[in-house]
Amino acid sequence: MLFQKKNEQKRYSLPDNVLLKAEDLRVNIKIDGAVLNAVRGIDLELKSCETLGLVGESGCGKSVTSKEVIGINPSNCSSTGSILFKRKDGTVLNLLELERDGAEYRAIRGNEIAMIFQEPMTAFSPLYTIGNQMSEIILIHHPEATKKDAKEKIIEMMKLVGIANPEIRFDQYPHEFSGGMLQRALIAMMLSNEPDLLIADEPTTALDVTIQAQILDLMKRLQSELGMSILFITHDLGIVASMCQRVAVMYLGEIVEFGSVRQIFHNPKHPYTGNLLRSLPRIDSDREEKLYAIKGVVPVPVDLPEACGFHERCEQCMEGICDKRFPPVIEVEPGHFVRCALYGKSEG
Amino acid sequence: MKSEFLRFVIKKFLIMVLTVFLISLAVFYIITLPPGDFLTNYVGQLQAAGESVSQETIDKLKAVYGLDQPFIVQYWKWVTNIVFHGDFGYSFLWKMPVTSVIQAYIVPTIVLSLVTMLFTYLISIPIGIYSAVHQYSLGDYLFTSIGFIGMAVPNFLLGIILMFIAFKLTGDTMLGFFSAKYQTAPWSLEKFIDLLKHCIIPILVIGLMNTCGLMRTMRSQMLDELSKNYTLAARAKGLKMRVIRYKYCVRAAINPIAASIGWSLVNIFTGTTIVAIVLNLPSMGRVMYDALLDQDMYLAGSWLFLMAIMTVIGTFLSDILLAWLDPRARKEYIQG
Ligand SMILES: Nc1ncnc2c1ncn2[C@@H]1O[C@H](COP(=O)(O)OP(=O)(O)OP(=O)(O)O)[C@@H](O)[C@H]1O
Ligand code: SF4
Ligand SMILES: [Mg+2]
Repeated sequence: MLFQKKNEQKRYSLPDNVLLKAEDLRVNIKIDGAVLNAVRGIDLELKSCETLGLVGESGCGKSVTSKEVIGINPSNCSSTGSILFKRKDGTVLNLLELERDGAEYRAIRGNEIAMIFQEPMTAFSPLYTIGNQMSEIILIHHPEATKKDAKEKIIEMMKLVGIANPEIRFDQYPHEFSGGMLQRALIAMMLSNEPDLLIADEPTTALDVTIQAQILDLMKRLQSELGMSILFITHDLGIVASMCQRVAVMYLGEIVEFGSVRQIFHNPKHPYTGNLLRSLPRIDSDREEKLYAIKGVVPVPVDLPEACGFHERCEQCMEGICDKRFPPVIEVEPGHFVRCALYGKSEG
Repeated sequence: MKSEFLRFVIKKFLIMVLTVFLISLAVFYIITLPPGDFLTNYVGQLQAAGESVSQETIDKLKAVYGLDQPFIVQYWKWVTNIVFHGDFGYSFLWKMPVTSVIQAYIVPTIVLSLVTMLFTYLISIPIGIYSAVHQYSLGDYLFTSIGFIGMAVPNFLLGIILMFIAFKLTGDTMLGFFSAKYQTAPWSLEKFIDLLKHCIIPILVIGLMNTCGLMRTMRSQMLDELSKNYTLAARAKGLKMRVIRYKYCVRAAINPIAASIGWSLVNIFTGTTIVAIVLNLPSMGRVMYDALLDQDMYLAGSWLFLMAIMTVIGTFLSDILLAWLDPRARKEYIQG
């Protein structure tokens, strides 16, 4: 690598309909001398204009994964593997080869990959007006644009996401907005350069249920109007069912099951997925039926043994197999992958 | 927004004027507190020491300060003398008008205080930012250690050490505000430079503790800001780290420090007293100390009054600055 010249850089390619592909992505976080294996070798594929759900319990590594894609993990994080991304001009890059806050990565962020966050209230600095902060995304990526152009574009975007009186709102400060309005503003800002990929990290978790529904509708509408892929991170399977085409179920830094929404909801293979679905409240279910809670807690991903990450909590754990080696990934039906020793035992 | 802000400033200003008025009443009450009037005491003292005071002088002083009249009249005379004639009364200790005493000492004190403040902020803020941005680097460790040592060393000890070093190096302990030859000379560039030279040790002594404290504050504020969510969002939209640091984080981290400028000015003003005594500086703090010991009430009262006014003005400035810098504070202040 070190002696490779720029023009000798490895050429990557992706199939026509694929926008993003992560392979064996690992992210380690150094804290106080210990190393946390937050993401442990995941494979992800995101097609153009699709919404992929990334679900899992708190602490399983969803945010670290998504931040790694856009390159904003803190400097005590290091990553290996690859994240291939197809740029607007068709060239394919390995995002992990880019310098974290270098010019090339910055040109992609906010322009081709954008991200919205769980807490819109903290996503803006309280010291500058919303308009000032939103305009930046135009001014950064269009050096020729004037402040006036930026303002025009931002006001147009504010209208698009349903912010009333955008001219007045433009000069207001974040504390003058409600949470839902701030999330709209954040969405408007992040989509103003029409990125191909939007990463949404639990964008509605911090909002009221009614506002939640509005924001989700807005995202669906904008996706069809602007044509983009969404990596939708949530721990709410109900939202996945209404928003996504495919789902990746994450547990302890690994993707344990991957498939279409239909496959995952109607034919869950991994014991963890089964448990997640059983812990989902159902409107049509009998009131007496207790919500299922998965026993135990997610282990801290430090010095993990060579075993299935779920074996301590799994009701179907097979002693001598599950706790002795990593289960392989098996394609149980076309496009439906599971990482569990219950399947494809013959290989072992 | 603009007119609201103006209204806020005016409101704060009126409150300030009212406060100053109340303080002046209190201060004047303190001045007249000792039994008997000063003039009688003073004349008595002088006569006890075997000196004679002409009746003419006594009468003149009595008339000017209204010393034989009721409190409110005396107060009125005192205030109008200050406001219309810049006359703060008579220092019986120094045997000259208080104004002359203040003038002789207030210029060096103000220079010392302002330069110390400038020094404190100019050094601590950049170092604090550097330490935060390069957290756990060699430089950060170095500055952090210096900061701790600086906060641990008592400043009078530092003063003595520095005086010793200065004496070894230059043959002069750098005591006082001026070298002997400029002591009585009229103001000139050379005299000013001489003053600045003599300010080095006091600035180090008075400023070091504040500098180290501010450095730590700035570092932790900055680290706090750098780890906030808005930096993630700003990076996600493609903003340069440099812009994120300076446009957003530094501005936010500096807010509380900037807002305390008014108060630190007063702190430094008063904090100079002990150092002034150790370094033999005839600064205002030192003069005040002597005035209190000797019950030189007009001088003490005037000094107290000036300090109170400084505090009120400092608070006023801080409030305005904070409201101007932080839109949230502005909202709270203006509405509440
Ligand atoms: N900056 C960090 N420093 C140390 N540990 C971190 C850091 N960020 C994440 N982690 C750890 O990495 C693991 C994965 O965290 P991550 O934030 O990705 O979880 P998540 O799936 O997004 O959870 P949630 O649903 O709570 O947002 C957790 O064990 C977390 O404690
Ligand atoms: S590999 Fe074993 S322990 Fe892990 S989920 Fe499958 S059955 Fe459970
Ligand atoms: Mg998260």
